[in-house]
Amino acid sequence: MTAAVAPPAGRLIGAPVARKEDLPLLTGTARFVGDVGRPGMVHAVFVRGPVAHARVGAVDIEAARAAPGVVDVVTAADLPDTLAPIPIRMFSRPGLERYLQWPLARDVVRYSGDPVAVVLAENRYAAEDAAELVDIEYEPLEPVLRADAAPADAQAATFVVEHGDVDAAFAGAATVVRRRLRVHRHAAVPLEPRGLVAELDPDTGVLTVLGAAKIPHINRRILARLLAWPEERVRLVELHVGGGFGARGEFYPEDFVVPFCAVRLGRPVSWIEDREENLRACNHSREQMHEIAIALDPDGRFLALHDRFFNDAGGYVRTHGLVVPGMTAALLPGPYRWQSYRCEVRHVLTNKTPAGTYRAPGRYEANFVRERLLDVAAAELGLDPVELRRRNLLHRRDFPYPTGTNTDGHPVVYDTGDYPLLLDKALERFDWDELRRWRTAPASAGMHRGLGLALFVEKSGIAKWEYARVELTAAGDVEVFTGSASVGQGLETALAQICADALEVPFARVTVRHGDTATVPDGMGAFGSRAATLGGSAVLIAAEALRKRIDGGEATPLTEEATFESEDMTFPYGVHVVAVEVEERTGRVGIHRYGVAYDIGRAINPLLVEGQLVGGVAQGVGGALLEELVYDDGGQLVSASFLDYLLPTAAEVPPVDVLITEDAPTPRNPLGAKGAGEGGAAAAGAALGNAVADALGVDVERLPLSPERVAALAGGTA
Amino acid sequence: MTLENEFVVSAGVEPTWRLLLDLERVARCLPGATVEPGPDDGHLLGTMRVKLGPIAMTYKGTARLDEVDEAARTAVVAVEGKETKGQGSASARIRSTLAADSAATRVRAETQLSVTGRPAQFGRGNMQDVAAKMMADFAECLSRTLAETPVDAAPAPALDLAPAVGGVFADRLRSLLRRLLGRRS
Repeated sequence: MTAAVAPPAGRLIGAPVARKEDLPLLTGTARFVGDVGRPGMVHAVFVRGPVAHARVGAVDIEAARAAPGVVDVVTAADLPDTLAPIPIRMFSRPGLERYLQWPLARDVVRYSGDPVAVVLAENRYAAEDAAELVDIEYEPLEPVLRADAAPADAQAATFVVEHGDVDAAFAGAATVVRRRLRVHRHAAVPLEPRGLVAELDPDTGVLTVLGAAKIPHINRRILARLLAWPEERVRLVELHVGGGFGARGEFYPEDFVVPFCAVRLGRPVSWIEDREENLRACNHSREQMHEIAIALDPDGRFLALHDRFFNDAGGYVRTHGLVVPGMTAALLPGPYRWQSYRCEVRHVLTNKTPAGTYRAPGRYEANFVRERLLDVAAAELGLDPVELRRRNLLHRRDFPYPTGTNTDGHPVVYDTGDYPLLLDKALERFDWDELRRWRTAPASAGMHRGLGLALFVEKSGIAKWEYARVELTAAGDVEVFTGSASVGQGLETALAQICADALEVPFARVTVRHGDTATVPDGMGAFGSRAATLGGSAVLIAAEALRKRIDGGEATPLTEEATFESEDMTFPYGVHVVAVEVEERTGRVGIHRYGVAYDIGRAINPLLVEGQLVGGVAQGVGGALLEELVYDDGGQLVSASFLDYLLPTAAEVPPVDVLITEDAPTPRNPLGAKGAGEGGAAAAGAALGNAVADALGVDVERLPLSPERVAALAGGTA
Repeated sequence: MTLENEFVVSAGVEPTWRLLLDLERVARCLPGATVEPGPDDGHLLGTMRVKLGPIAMTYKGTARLDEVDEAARTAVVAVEGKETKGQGSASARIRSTLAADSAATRVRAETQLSVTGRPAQFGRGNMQDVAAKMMADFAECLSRTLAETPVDAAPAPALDLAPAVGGVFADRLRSLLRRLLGRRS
């Protein structure tokens, strides 16, 4: 899709307007946290526990303290007595507080990478060298490395989501299929690792933290609480962010320790995460083990879905609480009608890096296990996989549709949709019939062709509300202040389009400001595909109110604020289609065709939506075929560099054919828009799993489909 | 990780077995190791330097005979070390079993190796390949030492594994080329 120069105001929404964000990025004027320097700034390096599970013995910091250039060495003993562990910000549950992480480990380390001390020095080199001199005794404890073989006290939470009589449905079923399916541990791996620069202004007493991302206002609240300071004395500022994907921007141990050290020393402190740290310390995601079964009647209609799964939480419960397993249990039903449903969830602590959200959290996993099992069922029944799905899809007349599931106690009610229509459109657009001919046409020796299809329902606009303020200056310029955050998704562009249309001012005259808690009073941020839907709606409401005052002849400057609130989320839905050619000898999965169809109600900017979907597919393909966080028997992460953690490159990511439809706008916000951020990733594992299974005529029971695993599947030795 | 090595010493089982129990001589065969007698009998102190591509570590630790099974002619040497700089550690249990092979002795060594810290995170495949190469060198040295009398008292040279790493890459390249050429023919 070609980017358009901005059309006139009034016709901006829906146009592929070029991104406002690109000019600073392309001209190199964008500032990232690693670009920030301050006079007298000290550099922090964290000392991390090297073992998976151990009691912390004697900590000797004297040699490190005496090393050249070292300013300070801080351990848990130096933190305030009043300190609390890092709290859960959403999807909490009584009992989880026992599993929270402290900013620095005190008695026990629970994963390789658990921070124990921090060394502060005049430069990074001195800090790195001194960090090696910190001498800590560890008394090893038995590590727990499998969530499905963990002791009872490792089960942080168990819960059941259900409706209908599942047992009766299975008892009366004509066909039952069941499988054990696994999704492996991988991670968001943003291009720019995390980083912070914290400084205390001695004159105002305000502590400023640069390098915030995703949720600056929420993190300000957490930091103020942990410091026992009033929020007014804490300011978080977002700079340019080189990718977040759910992982970056959550409140981590470093988010307390670095500002704390800046206050302690009275000097600015910088911490820039390196890649090995990023892979060991930043949230992992996706590791789940499912025992899933479906019951069908003789016509292939779905009677029941029954799933039991383990969600590997890693060493601690972090800020996300039960978001990931909660989302799996809530959205596992997908776009289908189930007469009954039961999902039994175990959220289990292990001695690996703590896990949190990553683009389409819980749904990437849910879509893989459900769609994989549907292909197994279709084969069992001798039905075409498309036909089996079509027979069970919800129809337009079914909406709004309560799934009988819930997110954090709130019922899931699909807002709008026409799933059969999107399936038809997708199959036509991606030449399904032609792909079927291609699949059966003779391939080269040792090559196997297969097709994979996956349908899914996403959710968007979680956490209810967002704030916006629109200001019209005397000069006729417009400034939009949003509580949402920019993680590279095109926030400034989309909000400027909405505002310019409502005010009928030129796009170029609208500036969007975000991510500074000093200029925006409150906000929820950018996660769960919420920025355009909730943030955009707040901007629309504020701009429309301002427009009325302009039309009423009021003199500039003018300001309007709005908070948009929606109790229910919106539910975009999509189809992934993939055609693969698998090389028997090397296990290479070559992608012949990749198509994503996504209905998001209303596309504010199709260029941005396409970018989101293509980027999501790239990450989804990486997760399905290459990326894997591997632990050895002792709990060492042995894929902690890009030598072993294989990111997809231009060679592996196929061209992606994107079909954006607007057949089912949502009534749950004034834009009619549903979020577009996660649909590209959500079903990539599912579609590729089905395609490789189809190509080789084997059961694919786990991801990733790495060359060695695919070769083993092809050779019958898996 | 578990590594297995097998080699033949041109000496009988009895002298080989006695030499194997001389821990100081055995420990000298650990690549890059220097040893000195420890405070109590049968317990050695020592350091071991390892270079793994861009990473260099010095481990300080102990070696001891952990199990001796006279009847089965099996001995277990346990080695434990901690990085002198940094947070990492390494430990190995080397189980050697002797069997007569005509007039010579066949030694089977099975090593359980566990490593924490930077080398564990540096290159999964390389770590395994380099450890295998180290064990092969260790086995070769043992074979040589056991075959030799009198004892060579000089410490083994500190081992630079850069060539070993290079060798690993070269081996991989060769096998890749063989496969590619094999496909053509």
